[in-house]
Amino acid sequence: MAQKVEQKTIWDQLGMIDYRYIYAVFLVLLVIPVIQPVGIPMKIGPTTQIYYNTIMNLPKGSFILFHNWVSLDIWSDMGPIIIVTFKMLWSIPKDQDITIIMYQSTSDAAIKIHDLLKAECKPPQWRLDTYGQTWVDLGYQLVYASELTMAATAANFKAVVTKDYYGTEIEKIPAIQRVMKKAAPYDVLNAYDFDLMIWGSWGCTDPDVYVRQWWTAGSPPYALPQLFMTIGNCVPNAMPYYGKDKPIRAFIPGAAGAAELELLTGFKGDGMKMADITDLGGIGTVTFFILGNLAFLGKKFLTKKEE
Amino acid sequence: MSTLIKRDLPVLIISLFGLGIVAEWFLPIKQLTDYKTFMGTFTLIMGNMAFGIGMFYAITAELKMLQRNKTWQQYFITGSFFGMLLIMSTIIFGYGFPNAVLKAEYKWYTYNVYQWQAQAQYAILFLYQCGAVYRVLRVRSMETLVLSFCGLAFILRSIPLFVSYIPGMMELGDWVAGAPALGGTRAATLTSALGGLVVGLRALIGKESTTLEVR
Amino acid sequence: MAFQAQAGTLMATIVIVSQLTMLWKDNFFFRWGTRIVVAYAVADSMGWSLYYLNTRFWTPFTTKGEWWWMLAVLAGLMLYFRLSRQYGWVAKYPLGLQLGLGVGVASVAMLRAQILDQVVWTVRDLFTAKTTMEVFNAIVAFVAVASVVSYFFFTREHTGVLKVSAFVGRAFMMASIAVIWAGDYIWAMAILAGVLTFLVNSFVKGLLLGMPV
Repeated sequence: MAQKVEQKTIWDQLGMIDYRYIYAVFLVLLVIPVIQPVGIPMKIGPTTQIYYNTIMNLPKGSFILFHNWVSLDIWSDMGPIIIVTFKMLWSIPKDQDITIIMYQSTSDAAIKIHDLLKAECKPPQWRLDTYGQTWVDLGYQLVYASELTMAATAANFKAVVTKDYYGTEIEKIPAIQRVMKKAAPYDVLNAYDFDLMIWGSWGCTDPDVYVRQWWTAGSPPYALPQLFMTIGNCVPNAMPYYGKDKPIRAFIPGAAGAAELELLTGFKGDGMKMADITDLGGIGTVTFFILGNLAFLGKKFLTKKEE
Repeated sequence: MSTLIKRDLPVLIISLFGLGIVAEWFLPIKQLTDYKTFMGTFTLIMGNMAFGIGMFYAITAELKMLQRNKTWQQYFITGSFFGMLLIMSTIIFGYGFPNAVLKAEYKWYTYNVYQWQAQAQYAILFLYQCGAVYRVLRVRSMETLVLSFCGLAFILRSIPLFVSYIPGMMELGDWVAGAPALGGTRAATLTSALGGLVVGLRALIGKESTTLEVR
Repeated sequence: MAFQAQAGTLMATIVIVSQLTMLWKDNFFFRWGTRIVVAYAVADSMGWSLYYLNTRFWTPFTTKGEWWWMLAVLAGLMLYFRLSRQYGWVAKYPLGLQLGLGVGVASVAMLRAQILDQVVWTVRDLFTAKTTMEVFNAIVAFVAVASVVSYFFFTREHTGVLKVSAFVGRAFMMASIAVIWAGDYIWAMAILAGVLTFLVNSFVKGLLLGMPV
């Protein structure tokens, strides 16, 4: 019995391109801007503007809790965010009297941050001269080993943090003493004492945890406003808490967001380079999307169906 | 007696310690807050003590793989695994323990092996997604139509080329994230929190029997 | 480039290429690359755990006499019993402790942050919106929340009005899944861009061609 050989139409061929060709095309599209940057102008989004304004317009004498988020396994995407945020913080003028308490809660951060602080993110000389008075590095502290440790830290930092990076007991550090006295109880460093928390994560359920423990918890609630450094796919998870009177005041999603922030602050860095590289990748995306749908629609509407 | 020790007492521990934390929420007295902070450190130390469990499973998994597949490639892979483990352990214990993790040699492996391998794995994920854009993202139903429209809007919003030359691209992408996607995620947060709350309360009162199954 | 940097660049390149070979097909070089990093991760977790135990247990225990942390160490050691078939039940005690504490700390806060606040904000945004766009967005978000919640209503068959609202809910859920996926796409693109930048700049230009990086 003769077998029917199904003729492959142009639409079938269009819709069945080998994946490896697609990989090759995208690899080429992304390598070209590395060798020869494209340099397309960028725009600044509203959340980036709010992120910037929230930090730079802090009232005089405010206290910032800064979680140094570093994840080396996604450094290309999140690295630019932490670098530009550091540069922004270090650019706050001395007369604003902003105190920064920072900590690292991942091993990646503990390794990377101090290299950054000696190089791209070096504090200005006046900050270096006033370590312990205008800023404190608490070092590697397991603030977020679990939600309980975060809750315990928010209630009393001594639960998790006893010394700073240099081994000084935190109660003896002048900046910590000053921050503790902001809100009752005056002998305990807790979430009530801060005006802003800048934290980062690429765990998309972490906004729920941070909002629970730094905004909702406490009696009365801590209500600590937060700025969120993250990657693109955690944006929907942050959106339920985002707003001017809500826990998350602004967020920076990945290298794209960092690029906008770099443009806004003038601290050009890898974010803008990454954004530049993604230009041709975007063209490839649209092209293959159109090809795939052309194939599907062509086969559906333009192919004569055999009776 | 067996049931008492193996099931009832652990469930009692869940309830007692958990309700203590819940009580702190409603009665924020110093003693309960101190209890919460103490237990924070307690569980940290407890959790860190258990690093050996992961190590045990990783080593046994590697040896089982070798047992199943005794080829020269698997010997090479298993040898590399134990070689790396030995090198890192030597650095950790032989090089100014416990601060070896901050030494240059440790960082060398972190920056040149771990960082780039992990990023390369995620990089190939992008290429698989490119294949998915081509093969899967076809407007054959309401769901894929919405997926395509909203997905592309948010992707293109993040790319300077499209934001610069297509008027309204940024606003459209931000609107997609800020209105329809916000509603969807908010509802998902709400419903999953309802479920989580019920499971949590059942665990606290000892009714959630699946919580403590240990082989 | 200093020798250590050169060796590091070469090692990183080998590891990157081992992962990229997966694009052709699964192979032993790819598996080798993943396994050495698993070994690194296991050792890394051991190293940091010991570092932390030294800071938070051993030093206070030996210098300040804080003996009570030994109880935490014993509880941690009890976790190892899960490796035994016969005595695995011993691990239920520390696990129960962690579970109870974790549930306790999350439950009540979840009620306020993830349930009550979400409902309040969804409704309040309707009345605090000032511009036309804000009003429109608030209405869309309200309809989205209501319809997606109705989709998860499984105690009644989805017919009539519920069928329509569940259909609309599916559309809004797809919108949020789309944004999650799109964010993932952009993130992964940036990572690939970073990897390719390293290969071109550090490996090809820096190591092979000896150009300043």
